[in-house]
Amino acid sequence: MSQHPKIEQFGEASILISWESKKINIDINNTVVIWSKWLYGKYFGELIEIVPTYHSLAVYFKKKVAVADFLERLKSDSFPNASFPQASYLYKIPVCYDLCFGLDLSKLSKSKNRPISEIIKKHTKAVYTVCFLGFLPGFPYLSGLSEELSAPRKMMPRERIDAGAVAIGGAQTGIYPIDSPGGWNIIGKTPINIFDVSLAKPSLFKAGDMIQFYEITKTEFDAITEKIKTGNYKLGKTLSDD
Amino acid sequence: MIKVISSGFYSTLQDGGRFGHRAVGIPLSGAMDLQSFELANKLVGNLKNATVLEITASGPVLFIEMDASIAITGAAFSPTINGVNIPSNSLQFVKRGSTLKFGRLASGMRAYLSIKGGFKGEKVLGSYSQYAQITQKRTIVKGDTLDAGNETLISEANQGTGFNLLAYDNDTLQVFKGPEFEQLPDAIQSSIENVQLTILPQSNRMAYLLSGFDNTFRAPEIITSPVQPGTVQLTPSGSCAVLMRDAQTTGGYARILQLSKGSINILAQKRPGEKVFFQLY
Repeated sequence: MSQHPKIEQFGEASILISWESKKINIDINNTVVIWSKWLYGKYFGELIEIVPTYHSLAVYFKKKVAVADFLERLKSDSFPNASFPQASYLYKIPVCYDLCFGLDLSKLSKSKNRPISEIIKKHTKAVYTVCFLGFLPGFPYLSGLSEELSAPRKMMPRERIDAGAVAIGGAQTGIYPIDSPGGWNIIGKTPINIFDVSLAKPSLFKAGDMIQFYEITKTEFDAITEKIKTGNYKLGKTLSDD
Repeated sequence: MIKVISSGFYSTLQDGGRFGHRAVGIPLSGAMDLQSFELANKLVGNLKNATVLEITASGPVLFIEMDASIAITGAAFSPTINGVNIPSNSLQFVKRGSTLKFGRLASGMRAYLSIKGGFKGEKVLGSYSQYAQITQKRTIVKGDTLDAGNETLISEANQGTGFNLLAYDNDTLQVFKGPEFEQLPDAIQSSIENVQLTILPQSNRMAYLLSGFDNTFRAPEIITSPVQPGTVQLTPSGSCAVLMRDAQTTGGYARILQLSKGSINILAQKRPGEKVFFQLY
């Protein structure tokens, strides 16, 4: 487990728990996820919600909670360790890398001087971790992109990127949860809805989950889209080991 | 029913906020000036988080088809029913077939219109607050029909007793030190209370933008971390933003200060061009 975190008040009704690191560190992010689950379990009655990020998390309290008093109780608590059960899932996400969806794939292939097939192979080989969600409702910050695939954001952001677009921005890859403007390089599209406000849990993913992409054809994309419409699609999802 | 004859500049349905979904990046939303919002509900006898209409800068024109009990709080407009002035901050009984107008804005930025029973609306993830990417409508528009009486329970109206109006002329924002405050150079830390800040026209429900820091006031970016309404961000180029109710849940700019809840209400009533100061607790 990483070093002890800094625990401080953050405004009148919340606290911030943070771990020092100059660079994004996946072990610390894992600790953040563990703490988030531990705090929910232990102090459920006092919390409204917890927002985890890369190296820190904010705990937002119900009105009745005296925050200074909570801080004292928390500091004298015994903290969770790395064996704390995580209950994270590994999702297998189908992606169609056909050029009709992979709008920036040809350009990326040229700038990397690598065939498109190799880019797809690298993108589908890695297992990505959902570090946290933010920026847009349901947008997963994923770590684990091969350095060879990193690509600067576009100079001119697109006015509209479709929900489901799979993209690369800098050293990160991600899935657009809703239609929105965006400056990432679009390499494909998933037929899976990763964000749906009509569900009690609108986001498919939560911090700590894992994602692996696999390639599908345009025909398969259309077939899955149809199955989702009629409620006959079953997404690949398994409890992950760690 | 209530017909929206014209919408005003930016009128949205708001309640106390969409709690419990910030971990997946859904903004809190809810009324910007919670003090005036709660008063509006109290005056008509609603539970304190009932849905109201938040009116920004210019008011809508509403045709009220049924008998209704309403109250208007917050920014000082000069509201009329069928052309006759009505007072703000009090319970008003409106006869069916009346037209409500808001008139000229004298002070403040946001008014709250409450109706006994609360406004009906589209409930998404536990809240009626309108937000572009969550609810189907982001504001009310001309031609909409509004109605009163969602599932909110009604208590006895307790108008006129024991409430405080927001001090709109107060230009001091009470702040706590933010997570990155101690990383600021001493010269900035020690002078931050002395800077007169001006509210910029781009300010909205997501953030209030402030100018006035001299160009030595700047802070490096941070690794994306939690932010909340009232978080004061300082960017590498020196611009300063106070996040408001529709802000993102995480951000990458230095969080130098955090407004008190009361000061968020005060700032929500400031208009572009008005001046404010920070005061550390």
